[in-house]
Amino acid sequence: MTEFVHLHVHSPYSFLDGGSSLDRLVQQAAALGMPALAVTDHNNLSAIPDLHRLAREAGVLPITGCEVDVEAAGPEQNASEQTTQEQNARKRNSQAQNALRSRRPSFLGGSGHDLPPRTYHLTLLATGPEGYRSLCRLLSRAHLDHPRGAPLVTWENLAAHKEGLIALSGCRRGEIPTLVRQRRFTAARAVAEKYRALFGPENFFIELIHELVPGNLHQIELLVELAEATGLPYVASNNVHYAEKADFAVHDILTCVRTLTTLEDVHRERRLNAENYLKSPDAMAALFARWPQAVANSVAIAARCRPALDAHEPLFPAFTPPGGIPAPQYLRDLTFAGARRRYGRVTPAIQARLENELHVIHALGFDEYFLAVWDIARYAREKGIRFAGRGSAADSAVAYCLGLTGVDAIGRGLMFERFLSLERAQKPDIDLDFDARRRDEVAAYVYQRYGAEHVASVATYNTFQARSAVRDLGKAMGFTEEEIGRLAKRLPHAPADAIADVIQRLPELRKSGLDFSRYAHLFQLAAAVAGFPRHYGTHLGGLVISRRPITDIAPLQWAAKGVAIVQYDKDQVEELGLIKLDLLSLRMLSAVADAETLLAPQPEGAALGALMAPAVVQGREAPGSFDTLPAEDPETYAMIRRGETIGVFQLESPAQRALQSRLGADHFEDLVASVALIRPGPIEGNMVEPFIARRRGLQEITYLHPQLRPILEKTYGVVLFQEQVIQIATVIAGFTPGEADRLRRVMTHARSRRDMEEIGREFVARARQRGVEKEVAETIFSYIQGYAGYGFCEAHAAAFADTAYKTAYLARHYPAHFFAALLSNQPMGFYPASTLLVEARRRGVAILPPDVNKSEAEFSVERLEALPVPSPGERPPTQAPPAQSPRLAASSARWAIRVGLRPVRALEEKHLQALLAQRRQRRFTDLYDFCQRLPLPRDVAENLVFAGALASLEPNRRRALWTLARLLGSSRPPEPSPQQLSLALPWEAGRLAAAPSALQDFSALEKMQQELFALGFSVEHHPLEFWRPHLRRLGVKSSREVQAAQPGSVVQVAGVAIRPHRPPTKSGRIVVFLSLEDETGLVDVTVFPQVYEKYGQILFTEPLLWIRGRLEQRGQGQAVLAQQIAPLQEFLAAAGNSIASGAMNRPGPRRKGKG
Amino acid sequence: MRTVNQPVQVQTDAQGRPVKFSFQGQRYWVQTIIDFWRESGRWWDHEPERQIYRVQTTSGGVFELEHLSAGHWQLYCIFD
Repeated sequence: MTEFVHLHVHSPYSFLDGGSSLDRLVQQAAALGMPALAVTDHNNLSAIPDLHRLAREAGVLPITGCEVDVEAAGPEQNASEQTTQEQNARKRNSQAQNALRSRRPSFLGGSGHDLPPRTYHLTLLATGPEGYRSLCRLLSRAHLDHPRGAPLVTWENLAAHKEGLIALSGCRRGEIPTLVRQRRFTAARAVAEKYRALFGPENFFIELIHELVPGNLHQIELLVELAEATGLPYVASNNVHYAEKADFAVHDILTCVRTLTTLEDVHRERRLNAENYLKSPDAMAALFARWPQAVANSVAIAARCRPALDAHEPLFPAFTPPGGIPAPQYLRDLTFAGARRRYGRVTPAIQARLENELHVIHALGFDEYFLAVWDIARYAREKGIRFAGRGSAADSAVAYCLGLTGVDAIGRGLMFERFLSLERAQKPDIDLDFDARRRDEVAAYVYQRYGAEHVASVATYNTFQARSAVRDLGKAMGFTEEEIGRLAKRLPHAPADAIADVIQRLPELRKSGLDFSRYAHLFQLAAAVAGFPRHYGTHLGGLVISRRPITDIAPLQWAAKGVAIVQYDKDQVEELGLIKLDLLSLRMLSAVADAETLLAPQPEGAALGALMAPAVVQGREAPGSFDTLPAEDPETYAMIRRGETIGVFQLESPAQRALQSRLGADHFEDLVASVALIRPGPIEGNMVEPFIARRRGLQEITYLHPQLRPILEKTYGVVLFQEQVIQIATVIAGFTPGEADRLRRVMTHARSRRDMEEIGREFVARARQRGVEKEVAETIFSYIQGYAGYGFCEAHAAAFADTAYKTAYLARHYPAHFFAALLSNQPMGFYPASTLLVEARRRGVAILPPDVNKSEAEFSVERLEALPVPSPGERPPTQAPPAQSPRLAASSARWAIRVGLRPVRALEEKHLQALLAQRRQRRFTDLYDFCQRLPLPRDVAENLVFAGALASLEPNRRRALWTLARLLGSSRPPEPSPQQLSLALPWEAGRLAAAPSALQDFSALEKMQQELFALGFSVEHHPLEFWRPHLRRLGVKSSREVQAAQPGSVVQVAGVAIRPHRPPTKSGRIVVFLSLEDETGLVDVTVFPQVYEKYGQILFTEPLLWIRGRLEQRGQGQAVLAQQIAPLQEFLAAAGNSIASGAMNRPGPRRKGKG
Repeated sequence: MRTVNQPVQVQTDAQGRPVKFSFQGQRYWVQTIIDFWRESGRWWDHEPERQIYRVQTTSGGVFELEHLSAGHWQLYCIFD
């Protein structure tokens, strides 16, 4: 029986050059009875960790390899022999290289090239860990020393890092095959000898590939001749790009995507046939019948290889404490000093807990890692960079004492084992959220402290999802951009292999009017590439710090922002033995910092500032992630209970607001529970209703088993947290912490249905051994089963709840400052800027338009000395607080938010800074003054007019535009095109008067449209105001009026559709939640399945809606249960037909298809 | 070289390789198979894969024969 091993194989990590998943490649190799499989992707090793895991499971030896771009070994070719394409590529490379020259890190030294040489392919295989290390170093140099996207292995580097490598001469783009093809035999031979001299005669093979293309056979004959002439061995490969012949279609279309061509186009990279699959040993033997040695050598090479990723020594960061104190001692000292601060007195219980944790940390070798994180936190604190720890680290009392988290793990009874245990010996995962704007400062500190060669960012893979697959493959198939756009837009976020299912299930697709049979082939191909990586991205916060140079452990390359990434993602990085540290950006922390800054100069700010410093009360520093606001403030909780939490961290979504209206939160634990409740796990596990009922004392709390009581007491008998699940598994079924953790991990990973059932059986069996009845055990396990999706970690929930409470406090007591800060840090949070403005108004905060003389770059606050007098017919800018809203603290009523200048369309940073600099010298007196002192591009100046920012210099916008036209030199009056106006309204968009003398200003409606265009939100008026009288006549209520309506009655509402979404529900049926925003606030709407079936296609595509439904009271809040939905245009048009008179008579133009 | 693209009758050996063929009333015997390759064609239009043989006949001519499916052959071109 012939044996053969494929040594030249491309996985999807060859980025759009691999047509089958790694899993299928390995499975196929195993099915063909092959003992080993190599993977040789283009210039990266990203497949290697997964390859090792999959190969081990399949009983196949993984061979680590890479197909690299190398420089010529032989003399340079004449320029005339190069194609124009190659010459252009060289030019582009050299331009890019010049641009990046300044970013080349000096420590790597780098060989300067003026013009990149012609590059060839070379197949490299690692015989083991040493070869792997050589590949890491080679690839790092290749990538970092050259422009991004054009890695090159130089001859010098190849010579320096060749230990443990076997080289094959490559595919048709190898140097030797190329020269042979060009009949330059002398040169080919010289190159062959050079390679042999470098690698050694046993380590360099002439690669023979029979792809059944024209001339192939002859080429092989010539290569064999060359090999024999030079005494080199030869080996057969198949330049594999997919697992089976039928997968060629996938590879071919990916080639089109990669080369930006369509299937109908001709391109040199399109393969002629479907021969590059994993051929069986017999097939390979038949192809190479004349050269059986070629086949035998593939096995001989494989026999010399062993897995490249072996057991490794610790790679954790090295932290040297000052003064030569050993790391474990330093950690202990810091911990106990922190414990005294946090707890006042270190009780025996606290001592025992800390000793246990330190023992585990030390036994696992993580002392220096903890110190490294402590040091980073210390740095941030020193620099005044706001941060908050999150995640399972909050299960650690040591982390609390070190100031990494603000959650008192001991006080909350959190299990340390959730974070670290000896049985699991898993790496700790410590995540820190930083003020988004300053996170990079912290990262820079890490690079500087540990040295750039020991720090790198973690990569992510941007993979094909439903939308991206449809876009890329659809384009390659020749569909028009328009058609593809229409289709892709309607697809929800879903895996690329779920399209057929989703089309069937979602009414907005079923009823979209699209003929899906046209796309059958497209969807089939999309399913085939589901999950394939398209390119690298940079993980938003992940860093690895290694005590050995990173280039020994992983290849590095440039990412988009001049940052060096390892070629692995966060999971792969861990498999390699590195620890990842997440330094994340959280815009909410920036907003909190901004709110503080805005408050600082005010008397209120001084009072708050005093509260903001860590307070020591009765000798103990109260728990909190960054400061101490009054805990358990009754007014804040009253606000939360009313569901008035727009802008509040974690509590602002409609689902959360609905929960808060009914929950009756009055202390911190309620917030912790809330953060964990509105998640797929508890929702699908049917935990929400029972929790609310029990919390409100409406339902008796029972425990299926007495041992559940101490675990579930704090959550009223409901299983809510991952920690509780682990405790239940330990106590009821006698799982060890290690097994209990396996349970937890299965719950948090997607591929879990099968595993869940298996564990369920084990759970019940072991519970019964401990004397628990079968039904009871099964029921208990069913509570746990809901977590197959996404259970929440209590420590994490507590950390988040801490920030949630703080922001709720700010929203309640300092709404102007807090909302100004939120607006300055957009995009963030659940709602768009327009909704935040409506909410701020609703809380009694006035909104002042942008003003070149008064606005800062960001949103700011101004004290209102007196209310501005409204001009006739205009609505006063301040709105009297609605009757039901909370009584505002006296201080807040005097504040207004001044819209900043940054949101102005097309206004660049340099313009902004110039404007502010000019204004600091002297205010602008009129338009002439403004234009003279601040030369702005015409469109930017016009946008300032449209935003209302020049109104203080010239209140008549039309006159302003004409003046600008004269001053900035143009003859045509400016006008935003109809396409640029983001809302079409029944009245036609205003037309500018042709004659210069007709300078009546724009109508309020037109001005609002301009603001929408120039700012993305309107300031003076809300779109719905313009229809309000009409709507009122038709019986449609505003959101404020709805609050006063009779629960149970049928109401009509209208507004801007905000964030329609389909969260998971316990029934599994699709329910859509959305909010309608009008000038007085939001109305929450629920659309149940039957109604969704009828109107689903409108919900996600129409910006303005009219909805009729039944008003339901939910605790202190309300929702409209939709019965009928229509686009607002249609409703008004239909209603307009029945109005006998008036200017509203004419139905407006149909809105153009949004597409 | 002229493109022909006409169906042609071909006799093959046990391995499916062309041995002799008739075209425009003439009979040709294959002396050597100079080259052989496969082309996938327009798979998205369900075009089948072709096997292509470049053959030298005993009369010294060079022809490219395409095997489209069982028994169906096409003379693609003739090298004069």
